[in-house]
Amino acid sequence: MVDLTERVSALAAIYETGTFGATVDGGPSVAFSERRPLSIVHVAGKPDDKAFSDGVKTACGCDLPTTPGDIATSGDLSLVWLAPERWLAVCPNRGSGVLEAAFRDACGDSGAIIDVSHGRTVIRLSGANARTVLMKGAPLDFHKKVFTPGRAAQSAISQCGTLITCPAEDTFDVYVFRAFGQHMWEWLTDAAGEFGYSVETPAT
Amino acid sequence: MSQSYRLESGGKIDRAKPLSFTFNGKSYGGYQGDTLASALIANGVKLVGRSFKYHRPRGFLSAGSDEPNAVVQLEEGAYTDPNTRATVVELYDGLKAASQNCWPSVNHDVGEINSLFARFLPAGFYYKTFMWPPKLWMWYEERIRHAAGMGVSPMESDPDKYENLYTHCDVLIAGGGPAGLAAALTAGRTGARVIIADEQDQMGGALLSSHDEIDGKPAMVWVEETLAELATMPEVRILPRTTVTGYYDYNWLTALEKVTDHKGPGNGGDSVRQRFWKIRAKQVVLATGAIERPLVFAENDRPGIMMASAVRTYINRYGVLPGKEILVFANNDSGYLTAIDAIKAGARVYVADVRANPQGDLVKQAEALGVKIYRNTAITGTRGRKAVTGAEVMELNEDGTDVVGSHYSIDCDIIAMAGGWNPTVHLFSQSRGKLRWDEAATMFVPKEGVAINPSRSVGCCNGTMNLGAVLAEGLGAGVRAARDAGFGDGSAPEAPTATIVAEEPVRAMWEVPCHGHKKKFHEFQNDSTSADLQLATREGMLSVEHTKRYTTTGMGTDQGKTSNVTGLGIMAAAQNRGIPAVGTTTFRPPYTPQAFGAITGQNRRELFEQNRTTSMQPWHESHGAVFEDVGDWKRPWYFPKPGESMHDAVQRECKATRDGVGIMDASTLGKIDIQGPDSLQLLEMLYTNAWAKLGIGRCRYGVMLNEHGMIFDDGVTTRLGENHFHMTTTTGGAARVMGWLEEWLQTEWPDMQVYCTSVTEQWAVATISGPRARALLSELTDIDLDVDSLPFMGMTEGNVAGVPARVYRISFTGEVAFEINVPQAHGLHLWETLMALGEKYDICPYGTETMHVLRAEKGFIIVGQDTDGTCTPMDVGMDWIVSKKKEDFLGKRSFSRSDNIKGNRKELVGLLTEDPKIVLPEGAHIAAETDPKPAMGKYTKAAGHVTSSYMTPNITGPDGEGRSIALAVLRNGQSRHGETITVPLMDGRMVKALVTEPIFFDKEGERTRG
Repeated sequence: MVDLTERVSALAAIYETGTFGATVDGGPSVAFSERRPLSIVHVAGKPDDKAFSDGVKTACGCDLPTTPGDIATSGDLSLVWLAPERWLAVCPNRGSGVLEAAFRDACGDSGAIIDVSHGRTVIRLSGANARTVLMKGAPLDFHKKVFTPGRAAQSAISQCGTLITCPAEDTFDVYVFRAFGQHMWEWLTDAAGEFGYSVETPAT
Repeated sequence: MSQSYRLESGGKIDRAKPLSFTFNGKSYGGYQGDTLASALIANGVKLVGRSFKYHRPRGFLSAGSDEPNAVVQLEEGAYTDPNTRATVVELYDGLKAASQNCWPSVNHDVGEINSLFARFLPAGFYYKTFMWPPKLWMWYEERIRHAAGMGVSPMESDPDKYENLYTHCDVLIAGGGPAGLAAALTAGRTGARVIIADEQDQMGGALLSSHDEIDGKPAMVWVEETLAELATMPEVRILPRTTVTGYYDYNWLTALEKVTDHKGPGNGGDSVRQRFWKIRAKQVVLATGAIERPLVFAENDRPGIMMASAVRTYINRYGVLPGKEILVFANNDSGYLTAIDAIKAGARVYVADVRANPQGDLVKQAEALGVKIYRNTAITGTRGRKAVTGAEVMELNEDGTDVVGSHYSIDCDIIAMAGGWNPTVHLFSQSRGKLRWDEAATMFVPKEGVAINPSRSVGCCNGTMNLGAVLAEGLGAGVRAARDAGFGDGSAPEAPTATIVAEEPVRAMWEVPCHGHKKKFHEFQNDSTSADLQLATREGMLSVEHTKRYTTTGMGTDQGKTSNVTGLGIMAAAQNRGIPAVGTTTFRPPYTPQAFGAITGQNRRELFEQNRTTSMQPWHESHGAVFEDVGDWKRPWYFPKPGESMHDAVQRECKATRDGVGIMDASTLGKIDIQGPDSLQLLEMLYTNAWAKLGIGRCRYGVMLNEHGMIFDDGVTTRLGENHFHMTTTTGGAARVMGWLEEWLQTEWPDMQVYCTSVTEQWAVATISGPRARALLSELTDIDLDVDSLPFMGMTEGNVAGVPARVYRISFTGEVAFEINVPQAHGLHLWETLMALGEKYDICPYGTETMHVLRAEKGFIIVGQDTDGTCTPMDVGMDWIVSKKKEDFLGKRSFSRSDNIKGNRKELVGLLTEDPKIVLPEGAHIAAETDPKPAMGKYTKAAGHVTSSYMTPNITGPDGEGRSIALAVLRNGQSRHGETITVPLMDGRMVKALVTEPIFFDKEGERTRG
């Protein structure tokens, strides 16, 4: 089934593309964008349950990452380790319920699969000062040699629980529950003000 | 006044960059590189403030962050900053500062009268005098505080920006003097991540104020070379103007960076003013230096009496000679460094040395330069009111306990005190490191091997005072810290050669004798004297912590940096025991004061706390909703039409819902997806009722109890599949319930195969309620809404408004109701579609207040409002929900506790006031005794209290109009239906009310099921 109406972002009321914050030589050093629309499915199960792990591989094309904080990828899909026996599968929107159904069909009665596509706001930050912006809010170690592409961690920024992933060098995705999205956007852009920042068109 | 105390040359100021500033309204000049203190001293200003208790004139004591006296009010208006130490304020053009703790001015201070009555103001004076009568203390306190005062807080909101910044490193080095720089160098060379922080605007520490040499070159050349090498290391971060303020467990440290303070108010551009660092360090090197001690002699607090090292700093670093005639008062050789630099700078210099016959190299150098030295000599008094003009000196007896012979008078405008050194062990102590008293050096030093957190103290803060040894310690600590963090092999390079001064031992003299009763201050800010400490001892204060609070020693803004150890020495003598036996007070963070703004960082104003809003929020906002906070959420409270009061709006919404159809945004309800073969077993344990027979597509209400058998949340859970459930919780309890489930699953029932996932935010929920709800919904769905197809407490899936939806027939109003769940990003679309189609049904949006009224009419409890953590299901009349057959569920065992079976418990009832127009206040107590007018003062026990109370148009009173209803908890309430009870109100009225069963509307529930 495809989405019959347009999905409305939690940031719709405040999202404005352009350049903001301080005017700095060399231009803004942080770029923001919302990642949308996405399909996001919460996947839970025992990695040693073969029916489950095989099913996940069939559904998304990659093996379950079992090292804490690792991300496996297959094409445009990422499978993020969240906690023991828990992962988040993320990819550009495949239509209402499609990704969830793919996992369910492949895993059968094993594991627990649930669609949370509408329950998250995902903010992407990139650029030379993106990690400094995150350092203002989260006590994680964002050093280039520590928080490397393909890594993820959960922490709190401004009292909101966040999942932070590093999909590429100097690029970070901040996942929050949808209703925290607007606050997180305002907080992060405030933190980036001193560097100057741009807001790009939303993309997956 | 011109800068008449400024030297022609020398110092690290930039004479090509003159600056102007004002102090107490008067204009002065200074140079780039000055502090406010050095610039004022250059201009001959000696009197800067008044002491806290006696309002005695005070000047500059130090040249650093240990300053107790020269605290000023910096800037004005929104930018004003009280209790700022003039010695650490970097001068900028246009700076404005003023004296504080004086009125009407620092020169003519009315409070100085306290000084005349000083003999009546001993230690503990306030405690002793104002304790009686007790109720007057509030009056006394206000006046005492006005008289005391420590600067003025700004009344405006802080216009500056601040931020927090978290970081991690392998080696954190606190202090950028020779020891810290040496450590940074060797740690940095290993490739480790190194942070070196120093409170000053430039690195170098004590070397900035000295003429020391390293490898035969001026020490500052070594500093420059070291900084140049550090600058090439990508993993080394150098943080000037950054004070490491706190050292907590697991090597978690805080530091305050003053980013733009030195540029002056409003000149920081886009940068934050201050940055509060939170640093996790694998290893810590403490290189925090040492603080010079004053000598406690008679009348030692006059302006112009300073620390000897400070005089040296003003000469060498700032090019200011603080006086023309300088008397150095020393008990060790370090004072001679000041004497030598002062005489070279052109002053006439004397030294009074308490040691019997000092003959060290420095003493001889000073003597050769023409310094007049008085050996075995004490200062026994000083002259001068607003600035010192001279001193009396006398010879000491053999054991230093008295002075003998006749006194001489020495004219001087500066007395420089060299009383020995206190290693700056604050951070080490904060990290719970233990101290050792080094008797020979008369100082507390870190005890080896008892750093609880992984740190190393090096240099002066470790009691190592000789520059060569300081460098060697720093170089060694740097590599070893890096090695312990996983970098390098720990081998240190050879230390460079450095100035070595053979020093003769210090002569400890905690209190310098004199004749007669003269004040000898050991703590300048709070005016604590040696006599105060001795009185405290006589009055039985033996513990150092008691004495501190009794005398206020060390309780000023400087936290006793200069006074602490001399105070301990005097206490030890008074108690006739050693200093280690007296011990130290606790060192607490922060090391120096830090602004709340910096701690708060960005989290203020609209960013102070997140507002959670649902996808329907734009409609609510554009239709005038008034919001209330529920948990983190902003929920519509009511939707007033133009001109409507809250009462009018709520009455209208209540009636419209019962008569037609109402709509509410219920998206905030907590929602938890539960899957796995043991899901059912989990529910059986969580809820009191039985779940096994719940069919797929059916819903059931449940209450959750904590271990004490008390209700802590409730909600409806729906079976989506054999092993798949959708649980709802209260809005405010969602996170708590999720945590509760996870705790049981992870700690007690790890074998259960079940996964719980929060889906609160996945679903937007519009609830439509009322007799016309079905007709409305049937217009925009393909779902068969017939009561046989979708009965009460049933759920089905289909399309609503063109979006995939789950429709639940759950009712919290007692009407036919549909909870329509759609994926959240379609929530606004659903709401707008319902509102548009609902127009012909007179659809009425309502908020949480109407929801509360409607559910109260039905007697549905709200957990946390009608219950308070002491209510069992039986207490609220829900015996029916507690399974008698289930073997176990959480809380069951506690039902047999004595308090739960003793009877006479508070039970949920309804209340109908005799006067139907009186709405009882929620929280009002129900009197246990029914005497309508209890005598004044007669103790009346409460028999319960009102938990919910509303006016409703849906239940009519005798006059045919709406009336008030209330829910309450009442002792034995379930057996008291029909009784009349009394509720005394705050205004004195005694309101009578009839006790009823807790349900007022459609008792048979026919409307709900229809």
